[in-house]
Amino acid sequence: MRREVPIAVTFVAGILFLLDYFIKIPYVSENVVGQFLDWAIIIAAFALILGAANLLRIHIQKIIKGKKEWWNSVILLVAMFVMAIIPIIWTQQNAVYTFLFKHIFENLNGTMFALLAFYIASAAYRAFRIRTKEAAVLLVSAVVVMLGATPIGAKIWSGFPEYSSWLQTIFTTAGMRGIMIGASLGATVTALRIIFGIDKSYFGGQ
Amino acid sequence: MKLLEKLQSIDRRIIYLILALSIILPLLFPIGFPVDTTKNTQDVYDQVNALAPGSVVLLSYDWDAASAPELLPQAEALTKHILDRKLKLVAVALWNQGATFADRVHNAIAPEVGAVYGQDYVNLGYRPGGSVVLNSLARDIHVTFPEDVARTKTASIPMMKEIKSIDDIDLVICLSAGDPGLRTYIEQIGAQYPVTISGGVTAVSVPGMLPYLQSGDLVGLLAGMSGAAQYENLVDRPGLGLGGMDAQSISHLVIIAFIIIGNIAFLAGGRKKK
Repeated sequence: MRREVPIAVTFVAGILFLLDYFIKIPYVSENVVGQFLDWAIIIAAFALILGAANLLRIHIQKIIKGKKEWWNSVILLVAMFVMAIIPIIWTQQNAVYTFLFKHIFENLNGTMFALLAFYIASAAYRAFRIRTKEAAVLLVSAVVVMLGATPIGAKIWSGFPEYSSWLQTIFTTAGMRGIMIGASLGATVTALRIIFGIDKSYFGGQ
Repeated sequence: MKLLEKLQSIDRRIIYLILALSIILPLLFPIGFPVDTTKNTQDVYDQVNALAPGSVVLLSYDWDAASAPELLPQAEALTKHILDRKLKLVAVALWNQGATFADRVHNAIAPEVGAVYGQDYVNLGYRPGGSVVLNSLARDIHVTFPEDVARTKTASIPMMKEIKSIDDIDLVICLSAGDPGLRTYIEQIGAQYPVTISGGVTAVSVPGMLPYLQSGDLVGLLAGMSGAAQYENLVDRPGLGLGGMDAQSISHLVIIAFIIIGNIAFLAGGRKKK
């Protein structure tokens, strides 16, 4: 029963969602599929709580055992609780939450992402060497696309935006389309295997 | 010979310093490079412009603070255009930080155009679940988002009394930094319901959206900070997008200069060595 019931639920839910995507039967769509969707949103919300609980468990252990740099775990837990509890009690429009979000969280998050620009610049300088003909093509394409994406590119040569657009519309799109179709076919096969109970990897280690 | 070798291995701290200056100086002393509007940006503008006053636009905030420099100016310019045109704006979020950014954009733009919360625009907040949320929203917005961010019942918000499902939405605009985002809207809403999907993404996400533009599943696309700058021009509200374009231009130029210097030194010196 531990295996049969989940397989049956997966099959029924999968077939219902699949049919509903193509054919909308008003009663089934509103009452049955709609109900499944509400459950899925509730489960997704509980997954967030599970994630927070897991984080809490790991960092409390670190603090209790006094592991190396345990104070970072204290900061993390305090920040997590403050940012979670304030909007839960006083909504996200609360002035304290808005202040913390705008002046601390947003800047920290933005800084982490902005650091990438420096690493990319350094890596591009070291790695982008014309060692082969293919590397030369890649380099020329990169320069055209980079300059085509900025106003200064058009100032230097009016052809940059035009050729940048051409490279992206023809070559990039063709490549992306191929990747997307391949990935979609893979996802379709995986979904069908799960729906029909062939793939039972979602049982975990059981 | 020594110079060529040095040019092949410039200390990364020098690269960091020059790149930082190439970003900071244009921000402090703007140059004002002219920004031309691309077809994709114009298409988004035309979609909003073509709607009759009172039409409903769903604007989805699917991004986090890391992508704010590119997507926040897009959101501000779009919100200004939507509210200026007297359209009804429904903001939702599939990313948890999105709802906070929606509040910030509304607080900045609504006083400028005299829009009133609950009558002209609303922020329904964040729901976890990605594609599941969109399927649910399409059926019944009031069930998916029973309250707005201020915990007011959605059913009691004046403008929401007439907006109940995707059938009541005239245009969907998704500002997205990844998944769930614009692709999710195209797959879950655009493929099932007759509503136009438009959007804006970070520059790095643009290649992934091009096939959808060519197929017509996506109508118009704002591409990164450059898309934001172009839209700011179109709605005549210079902001963070236009302000950042000079810095982006110069920093791109600096990166290219470093790549070219490295290659000249490599071709002139490094290869001979072999």
